[in-house]
Amino acid sequence: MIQLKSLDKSVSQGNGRLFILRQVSVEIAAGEFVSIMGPSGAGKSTLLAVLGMLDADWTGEYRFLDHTVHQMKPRDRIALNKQHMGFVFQQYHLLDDLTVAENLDVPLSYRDIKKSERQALVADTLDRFGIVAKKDLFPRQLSGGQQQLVAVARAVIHKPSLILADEPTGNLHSSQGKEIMELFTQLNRGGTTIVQVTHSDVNAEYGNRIVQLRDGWVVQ
Amino acid sequence: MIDTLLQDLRYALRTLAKSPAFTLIVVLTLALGSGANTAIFSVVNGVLLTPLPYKDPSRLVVVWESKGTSTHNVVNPANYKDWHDRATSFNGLALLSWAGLTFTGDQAERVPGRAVTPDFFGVLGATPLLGRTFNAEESRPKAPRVMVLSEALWRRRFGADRAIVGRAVPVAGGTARVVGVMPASFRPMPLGHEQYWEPMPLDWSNRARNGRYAMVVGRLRNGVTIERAQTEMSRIARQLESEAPDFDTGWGATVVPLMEQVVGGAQRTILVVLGAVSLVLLIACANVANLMLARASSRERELAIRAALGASRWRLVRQALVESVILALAGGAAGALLASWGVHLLVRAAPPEVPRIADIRLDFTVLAVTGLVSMAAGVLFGLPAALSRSGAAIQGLHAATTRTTAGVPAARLRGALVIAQMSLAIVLLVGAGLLVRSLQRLIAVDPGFDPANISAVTITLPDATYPDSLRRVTFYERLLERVRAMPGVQSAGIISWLPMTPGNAATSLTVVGRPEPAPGQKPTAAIRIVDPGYFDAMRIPLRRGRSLVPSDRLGSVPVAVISDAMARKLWPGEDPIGRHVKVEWWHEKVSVEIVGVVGDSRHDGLDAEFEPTLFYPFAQESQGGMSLVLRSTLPPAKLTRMVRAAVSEMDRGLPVADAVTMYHHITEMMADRRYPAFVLGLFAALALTLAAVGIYGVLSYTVGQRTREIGVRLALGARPADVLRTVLGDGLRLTFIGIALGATAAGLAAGALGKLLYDVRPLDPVTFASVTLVLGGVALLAMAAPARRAARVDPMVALRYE
Repeated sequence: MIQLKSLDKSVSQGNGRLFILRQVSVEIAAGEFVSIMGPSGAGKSTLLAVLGMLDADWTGEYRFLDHTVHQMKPRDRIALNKQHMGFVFQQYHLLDDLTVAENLDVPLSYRDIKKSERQALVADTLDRFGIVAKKDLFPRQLSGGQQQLVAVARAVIHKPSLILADEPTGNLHSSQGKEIMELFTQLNRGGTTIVQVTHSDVNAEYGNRIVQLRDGWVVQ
Repeated sequence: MIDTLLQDLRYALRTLAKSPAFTLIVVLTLALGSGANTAIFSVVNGVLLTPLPYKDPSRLVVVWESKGTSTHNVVNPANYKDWHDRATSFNGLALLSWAGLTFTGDQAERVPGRAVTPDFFGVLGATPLLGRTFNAEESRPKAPRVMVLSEALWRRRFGADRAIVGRAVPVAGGTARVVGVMPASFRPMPLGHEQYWEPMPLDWSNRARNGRYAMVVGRLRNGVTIERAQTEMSRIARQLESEAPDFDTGWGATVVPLMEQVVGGAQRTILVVLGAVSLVLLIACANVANLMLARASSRERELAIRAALGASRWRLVRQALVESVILALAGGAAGALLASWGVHLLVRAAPPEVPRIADIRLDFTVLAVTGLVSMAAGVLFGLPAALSRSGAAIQGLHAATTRTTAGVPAARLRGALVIAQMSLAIVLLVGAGLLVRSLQRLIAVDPGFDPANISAVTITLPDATYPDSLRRVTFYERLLERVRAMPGVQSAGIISWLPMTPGNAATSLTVVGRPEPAPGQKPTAAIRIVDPGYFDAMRIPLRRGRSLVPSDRLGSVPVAVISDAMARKLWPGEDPIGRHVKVEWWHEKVSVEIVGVVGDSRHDGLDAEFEPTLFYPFAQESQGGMSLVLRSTLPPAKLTRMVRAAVSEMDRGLPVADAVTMYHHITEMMADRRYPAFVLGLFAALALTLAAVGIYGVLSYTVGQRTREIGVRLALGARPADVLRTVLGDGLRLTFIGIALGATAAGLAAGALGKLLYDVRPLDPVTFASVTLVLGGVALLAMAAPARRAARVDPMVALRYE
């Protein structure tokens, strides 16, 4: 599904350049559950952003399914992102002024899906994640675990083939974190490829492979 | 599309409701900008854009006589008749002159009107609301008196009585039969405020050419252009020059579209004010754009999330624009409310000379334009924030988890907006400053008489009851005697045409003993009829010879006093006393002796040149309508009551107008300068306030953003004064750039004020320097609070800010 070859990412610093990712070559097959690990500043979140096509400022080769991403225009990369990917963030990043149901509707509204179809998808997802009773609540009215549950629901509502999760349990206590990781496992069993960034060895255990980063280099 | 747009709309409304303070400030700022624009646009629409309320008004013209630089001169009826008979460019040409009558009965009232030829209403394509207009029979001399009422007069004086048609109503000297009532949409012709019309009695069997006193309205034939009509009228004028060289040599004809005649010089003033108010709206937009930018930086996280969830840049821009347009429409709606009040204020404050005041109103067109301008403004002020927000979101998607701060481009954009506000404010301040300086210069001009404590009352004696000079002279002499004896009245006099009032009475004359000038080369002079006490009452000094005396009466030697300007013009370096002139007035064959020279006084306003003037003694050359001038410290209302009581004792039922101070007349004559100065001053103050709020907002925001940095600096040993200097430096840099750009733009734009300026150059250094100081001072005041806040930052608190 994903093939990275000799990928470099750097930013200018003074007269020189500071490398964040160096010669990264990684392959991820469809249906895998991969954890990216490493110390702070290793480039984990940056790698996730590159995978998610949120960062276009890099060199090297990136193939996603049958697309050569490194040759695509930014607009086409965004289209690819919209079609295949879902994101889960450490800070949940629900939109504060929208209800749970409206938050779930946001990614659908950006994908030219008819209103009736969107309503059906939202209802289905609320039911699937067991949050029907919370559909009219605002994020501030939910606990951290509940918010992340909604965030995961939002990430999968448009049925992405790849979920990219950046420290998805970083702000949750252990029992809530466990629930979310079990949810990811369940999604992975259903065929969704999952790539997560994590510091937690326990969470990494849920996946079937670990990519270790240090100072921008893949070390394992 | 519609569905997602509604979603954006719903979300925008919810977001705005969540920040009521922000929403209120933005809506209020826009309301001020768009309200002022709506009010002024209603003037532009009413005066310049709305067609005149006549049938096919674009084909209506006014035809004037012209001579030299005087292109809009009143018309001689015999010349009119020749134009009428010979010109083929017109479907109709009507003659009209100024008239007035006194309604008697319970409430005596003097009402202005117009005497018109019977085809007048037909030329304008107007039909009466009730009854009919005039026929040819009613235009014959000595025909029974008839009149057509305006709707306003019919409503006010006759209670909208439909049975008034055909009824004879009492007027001074008898009765006049009402034959019709015109609808309210039928407006007075230019240069008048007529409330009724009467037939102009003309005997075409006698085409004696003397006196120019009327105006001509015509309707161009289909397909005839103004230029073609002008060519034909010039050709006819040349024919008349050769046919009546004594009267018509040097005289031509000018064809003017009626709309141009109505709007006249007001067009430049209105467009200058429209330009000024557009700048206010731009400043308001810049202010709001700045607020939106500041707010956008605090919402970058949300946008980054939306982008991560698949929103395209267009969707992000659209969402931001929906929010801006909602704010703009709310601002426009609040502005329309403000404008309804503003239009009322503008109409009330407008001098009567502002044309088409009755057509100024908030109507559908004005509101539709306001709506469109508001939408455009919404896009204008929303776009910088929308583009900067969406750009930042797309570029920095993966930074959604990190704390975001405003980037360098956004800060630069905010700075640029403040500079733009400052520049625009300078342009407005310079415009207002130049107009105020003009007014100052004008007020300092010596009118040639002492206007302090002078009030004037106009009285018109009806021809019917005062048909001869003896009765008129007796009336005014008795009145003056009574008025001078009144307690509180220091002196009094009468004059036929009060200084500092619109219009004039002037004619040509011949100096006895000099060769007859070539046709059309006779000198002209303004003619005034005064009593001997007039010069004392007005404190106009006698320069040479003697003043008029009570013994200058009918039967004695015809005499006159002339002004300095006339002495200089006709007898430069000579003594005019004892010289004689023949004036083409009522008795053009009579030789009048010059017995004195008085100081010059201005007639057409303080900016008018001194006009050569000849003063007749009223006991030799009386007329019915005179203005009584009184020097008194009593309030005008009390003087009015006293004069009315005195007149009533002499002639019950003779109407007396309210006393008006000379200062009021002078102020009215300056209205064409005072009004734009007032309006521009108002807008400049608004612009200054908005610009000050703008720089305050930007510095406050910057200080907020830099609190941590300031804390670090202070912790490292910076003194509060250093911090103060840094913040003020930022503000002053923006201010200086704004002032420099604004002063350059103002220098280029000041020429547009043109004739609105008096004795002040468009690049007047005093104005530019004062404006710079004012703006700099206000900007410093606006910077003071954020700068003080920065200097008082507690390093310990600031370093915990994160």
